[in-house]
Parts: sequence; structure tokens; C-alpha cells
Amino acid sequence: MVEAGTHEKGDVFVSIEDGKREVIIKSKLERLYGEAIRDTVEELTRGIEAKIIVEDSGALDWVLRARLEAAIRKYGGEKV
Amino acid sequence: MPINAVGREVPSEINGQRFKPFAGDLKTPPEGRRAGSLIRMAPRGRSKVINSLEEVIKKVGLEDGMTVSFHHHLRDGDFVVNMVMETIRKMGIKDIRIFPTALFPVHEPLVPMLTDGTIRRIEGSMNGPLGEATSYGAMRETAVLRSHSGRVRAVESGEVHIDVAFIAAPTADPYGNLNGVDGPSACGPLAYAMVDAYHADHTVAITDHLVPYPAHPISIFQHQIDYVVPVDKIGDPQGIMSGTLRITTSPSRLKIARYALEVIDRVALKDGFSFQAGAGGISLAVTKFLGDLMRKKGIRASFINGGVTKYVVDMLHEGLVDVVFDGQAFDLDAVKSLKEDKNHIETPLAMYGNPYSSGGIVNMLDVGVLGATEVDIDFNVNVNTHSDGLLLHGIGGHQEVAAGSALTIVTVPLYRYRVPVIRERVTTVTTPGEVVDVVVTEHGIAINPKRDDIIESMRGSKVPIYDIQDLQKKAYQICGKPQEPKITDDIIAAILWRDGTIIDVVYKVKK
Repeated sequence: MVEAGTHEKGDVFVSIEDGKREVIIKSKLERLYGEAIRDTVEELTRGIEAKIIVEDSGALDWVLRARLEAAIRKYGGEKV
Repeated sequence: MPINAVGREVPSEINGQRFKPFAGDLKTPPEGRRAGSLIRMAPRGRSKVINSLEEVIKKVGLEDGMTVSFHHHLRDGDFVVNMVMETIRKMGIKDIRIFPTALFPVHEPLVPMLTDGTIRRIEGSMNGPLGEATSYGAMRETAVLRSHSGRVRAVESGEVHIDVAFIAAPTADPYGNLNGVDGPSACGPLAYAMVDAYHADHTVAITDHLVPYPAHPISIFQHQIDYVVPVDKIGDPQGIMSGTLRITTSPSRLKIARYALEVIDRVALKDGFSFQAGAGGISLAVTKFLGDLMRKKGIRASFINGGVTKYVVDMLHEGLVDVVFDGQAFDLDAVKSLKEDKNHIETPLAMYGNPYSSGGIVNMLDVGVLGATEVDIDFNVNVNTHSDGLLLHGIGGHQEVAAGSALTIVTVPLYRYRVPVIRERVTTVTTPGEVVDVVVTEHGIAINPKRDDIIESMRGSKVPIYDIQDLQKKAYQICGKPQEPKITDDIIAAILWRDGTIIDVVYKVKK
């Protein structure tokens, strides 16, 4: 399993682990940005066959993109 | 349903009581005479001290359906509301209307009483869990929210009649003289409770510091208090006092404070000016910076209206301000100063900003610096609901300070985490744009177009000035446009303007 991000306010925590593709999203801003978060997560993780957990504490979209990208690279074994 | 002056659809009846739609500030003149309380007598020799809450509740004749009031000087450290309501519940008294000045997270034990028949409705500020439960539909009747001064107006006009006022008293003597400056639960003034003491049919003081007769100083006088109930503790000092409040260290919040200071400097700063102080992070920073600037320029203020904190007291002691008006003290320095400094004056809430009176302190204010949860492109301000629709805060003195001050500044970040603060339309209107002059964010300021004089004064300033629409677009660019939250058509609360007209309503939120 790989992780990126934190649970601090304004940040988002992402983890990816082996398994059937499954995307679990929890956000404090579900009512206001649930759809936008889901769109970004789907866009960036398309084709990744793994269990993806996103726990959002109010991150801006570019923060979410950065955390997702970091987690995906770690999961793919890329050295940063 | 009629559409009011800020374009909101509002009912003409709430809980069976008629209300007018908001027509603009001071556009609805008062009618009638002030309402009174039951006339009582207290023969010589009859003791007022009762040792149990249950006994006192029997003595005052509290019945199903009646209205009980509380004040919030003990804030999130208050034990009194919970102990009184728990006693009422155990005694099997039902359908109570609670009329507090404000409730806090510490009052969460009241949530089950919304559904077990004890409470039919709350008319007052609900900060936190009670507001949230109400948003999801837990309250049987409709909540009514008023500003500090609007609440005074409602009592004086007879819009709300209080059957029993329960007054938390940090110091009391056996004959009902009360103050808030002494005792283990000292809170400073008892300003919020004064109107209740005067207008309720029955009054009960609850104290954990009973002193020999006569107590002194006296904030609320003996002829207005029927009974005194001694208890172990009326509150937790940790929740009553904020400790030493710290000025924000966030660079963007400090930038907001500096921009606000520049507006004050150019528009209003002159010898003898006056301003409203508060306890929020940005507000504290503005007070501190303003003090520094006044010292540098050799300017004195005539008065500060508080929200009193150490920062205000320091200015008083340094001679930067002549008088401090105190409706609420936030730290121990403020309490000590209220007790010792003769130019630190406890002011009844009726004097603060009741629009239906012969004139409040707010009418004498040059500068008011306020916060908000949302501001929209019509300069309307929301302090009550979050952008997801949940009712989580009271009005406080926002309305009267905004309406009264010659210069009203609203300081807000452009967005909080991912939520835009400057929006196309606020979720709930608390304060109408007509009384808001300048909105200050970390990206720049927006000036209400009808204030040509301020636009003129700000010419040549280094502070970036935008149309409010541009600030809103900037916020949406950074955050993305939010979805419409799922709310229903069921009204769970009415927001009253300070004159008692309905400025907006709050709808039930779907889980």
C-alpha cells in the first residue's frame, strides 16, 4: 500500500493498495464538491486496477491532483 | 409568500405569529407601547434563597408551554441552561419555548429534549450541535433567530413574553443583587440578562458565589429578582474565559487586517473617533494595529464598544481611548478592568443597538469591523449558515453594528479551504448589502458602489480595489463552482432583521 497527503484541513489523504478496482471517497465537502472530487479522481486514476481511498479535508482541486499523482507514482514504483 | 427587500421569499406567519417582510433598514416604524411584566411583591422578612431548582420551578409556577430565558455570558462554559432544562424535563413539564441569548456546544444535552416533548422550539442563537440538529428537522416548531438588539426589541415590544428568566449570576447576595465581576465563574458584565430581569414575569438568579448583603458592585438590582438559588458550580472558567486571545499568525489573515487598517486610516481615522471591537482573529489584529497607528499618529479614540479583550484594556490604560463600553468580556483582563476602571462602563444590551429606542451606542460608532461566513455580489452577508445549508451560528451584534456604524467593513478570506466566501448569492441573508460599505479580502477590497465618498478616499491607495463580481469570479476560479447543496422546502428557522421583520429563512437540510 502507498499513501500521499495528510488529514490536515485543506489537504487530502490518498492511499492505493492492491486489489480489485474500487474507489472510495470521503469528503467534508461532499455536499458542495462531491461531484468535482469524483470527476478528478476518476480522471487521474483511470485504468488503475487497485483499491483507491481518498479522504478529503477541503483540498483545492490542484492539491487533490498533486496528492493523487504522488500516490500513483509511488504505487507504480517510480522514484521521485 | 411575499418577496422581501433582499429578494428572499419569506412567510408572513411563523409559529402562528404574524411577521412583516424585511423592507429595508428602518423602513418599518415601531408601533405601540412597551410591554410589561407581572407586578409582584416581597414582604419584609421573606427569604428569597431557595436551595433546589425543582422547588424554585414549582414556586414560580412553570407550566407546559411556557417560555424560559437564559443569557450567554458564561458562553461555552455554562452549566446553568443544562441544569435548569434537565430539572424541567425530570419534572415532566412539556412544550417549553427556550428564549436564550445564545447556546453553545456545551448545550448539546438539549438535543434529545427537542424530540422528547420537553422543548417545542428555541428562539435564539444556536452555535453548533443544536443548530445542526435543528437543520436536520429535530425541532417541532420553527426556530427564530434575532440579533442581540433585536432580541431586546422583541422583549420590549411584547413580541416575546418571558414567563421565567433564569439568570446565571457569578456573584449574588441573598436578596438578589447580582454582578459578574467576582466569584469563581466571573464573566464580566451581565448586560445580556438585564432586559430579561426587567421584563420577565418571574426571575431566578442561580449562583455559585453567595456573598453577604449587599453585594457590590451591582449589575442587576434586587427589586427585579424573585429568588436566589445557590448551586455548587454555574460554569467552567475554561469555557467562560477565552484565556489570552491570540492575534492571528496566518499571513493571509494578517494581510486582510492590514488592508482593513488602510481603509480605516483613509476614511475614518481622526481624533475622537470610535470603533467596535471583537474577539475574532482578524478583529483582534485590526484592534492591535489600530492601536499602533493611533500611537504613531498621536490620535485618541473617544470610545471603543466591545467585545472587550486585553487589547482593548491595554489601549484604555495607555490613554489611547477615553471610554470602553462593555456588553461582553472575553478574558480576565477585561473582567478586572470592568471592576476597577471607572471609564470602563457596563452597558445594558438595550443601550447597545435596539433600533426601536431613543438611540443606541451603535448610532455613535464611526467604524465597525465585522466577519462573515459568506458575502455575495450584492454585499449581503451571511453569518448564520454554512454553504452546505447547516444552521451553525447566531447573529450576534452583526446587524446593529453594520447598520449603525458610519463605516462598516466586513473582513473575510476569499475562500476557506475549498469553499468560496465571496459568492453569487449568500446561502442565508443575515445583514443586507445596503448597510455594508467595504468588503476586505487578502486579494483586495471591494467598495459598495453607493459609497462614492469611500471610493474617493481610497483613490491612490496601494490596496488593490476590485468590483465585488471580480472577487467572486476569482474565488470560483480557485475553488471551482460549488454544487447546489441538497435542501428541502421545509422552513426550520426564521432570521429576523433587528426591527423584527423577516430578512430570510433557513431550510431543512437532507442528511
